[in-house]
Amino acid sequence: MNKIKIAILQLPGTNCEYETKRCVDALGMTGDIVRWNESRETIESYDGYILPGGFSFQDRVRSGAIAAKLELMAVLEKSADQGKPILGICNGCQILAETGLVPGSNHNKIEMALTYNHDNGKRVGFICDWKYVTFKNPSASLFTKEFKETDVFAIPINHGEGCFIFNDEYVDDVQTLGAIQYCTETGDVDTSYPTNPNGSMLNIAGVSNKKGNVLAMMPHPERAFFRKQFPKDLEKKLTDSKSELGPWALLLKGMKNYIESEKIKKDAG
Amino acid sequence: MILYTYQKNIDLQAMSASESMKNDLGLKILNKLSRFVAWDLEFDGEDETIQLKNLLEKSFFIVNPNKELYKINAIPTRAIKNDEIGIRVKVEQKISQQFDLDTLNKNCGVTLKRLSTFLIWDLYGSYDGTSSEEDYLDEVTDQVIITSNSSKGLLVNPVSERATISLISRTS
Repeated sequence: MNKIKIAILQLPGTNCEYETKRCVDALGMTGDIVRWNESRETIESYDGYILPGGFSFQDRVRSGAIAAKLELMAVLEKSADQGKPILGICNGCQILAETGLVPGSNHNKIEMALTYNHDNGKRVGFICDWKYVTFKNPSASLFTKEFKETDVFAIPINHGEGCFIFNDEYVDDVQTLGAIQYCTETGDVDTSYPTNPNGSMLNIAGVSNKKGNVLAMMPHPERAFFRKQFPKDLEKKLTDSKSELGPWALLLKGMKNYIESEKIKKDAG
Repeated sequence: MILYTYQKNIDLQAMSASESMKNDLGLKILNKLSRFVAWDLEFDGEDETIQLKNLLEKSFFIVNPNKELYKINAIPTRAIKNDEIGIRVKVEQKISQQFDLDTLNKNCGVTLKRLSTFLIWDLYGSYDGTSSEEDYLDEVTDQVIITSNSSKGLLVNPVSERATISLISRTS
């Protein structure tokens, strides 16, 4: 089987592409940093895609708004339809929301937005912190398949516009999707600040599309991928003390397992 | 009172939005796009002008005089040519944002009672008169203003923002 190739898409203003590549490579896949204006053929040749964090186009107009209009997004929409996995982290999450790929239940019509962090309407500004999250319907997304509903892991967040809001008519739908939710250290999905650090509806920190192959998440798994990236007090709480990898390696492991199984199916059929 | 702030030199946000509208969304008729950040202020007391002066002089929170200009209760508009239409888009956040007035009042020696903000985008586009001004407005709204998917709309995200869209009067 050919080595799995993942395109880490670099837009003007992206700043997390190198650490994201390191994570992809650590799992035995090939992570290539691919510029946003590469040819359609080049971009289409990849098995999966990651939109890393940063400030694409300086967050002009709204975070992710300008990037969502690029031709690149038409390629990603087609790839998502084909079932290829797409992960958007932080600014990548904001781009996916502006593109309508997540939750994507209505032909990629815009159904959710990431807006200013707030606590009951009071602006709380840019947040850079470690937060606990848990998983809802983890089997509904290929990225969260390796996690359990009872898992609670710490992860860094780093954003000013991370508050998920959904159109009222989609709120029930959203509850059936694979999701990552802010919670307390014991896994309680407490809706109050600061457990929910930005006022997100349903405490959402990440949400997948209906098909489960696109995940948009605000926290940074690439900053909690290796054990050594955890602060000492949080590292002590990790259960698997022998592994160099932290719990968030499971996210990309889910992506890798899915691509491998799709390749086996393709080769057999 | 409403304070309209705008860039002294190039407004990079308006420039990017304008490029995206023309190149990615195909709005070739766009001649100019301007952006203003509006601050709606209400002070306790009658000396509003003095309080505003204090607020602007003692904090760069609302206006940074090194790079921004402002006008009170008036949006700086340009003359609309005969073969042009002007469209004004007012964008407000659906979740109202509260500012820390206590800190502003303490640091600037003012008594702000209320502070809210919204955005104004002014678009000027070529108009050949083949459609009515209302149809033109609807078309532009659909094409570049209200975001519905990756190929339509930019200035307003209808999930998180509320927009008021109108034609700019030729006499203003």
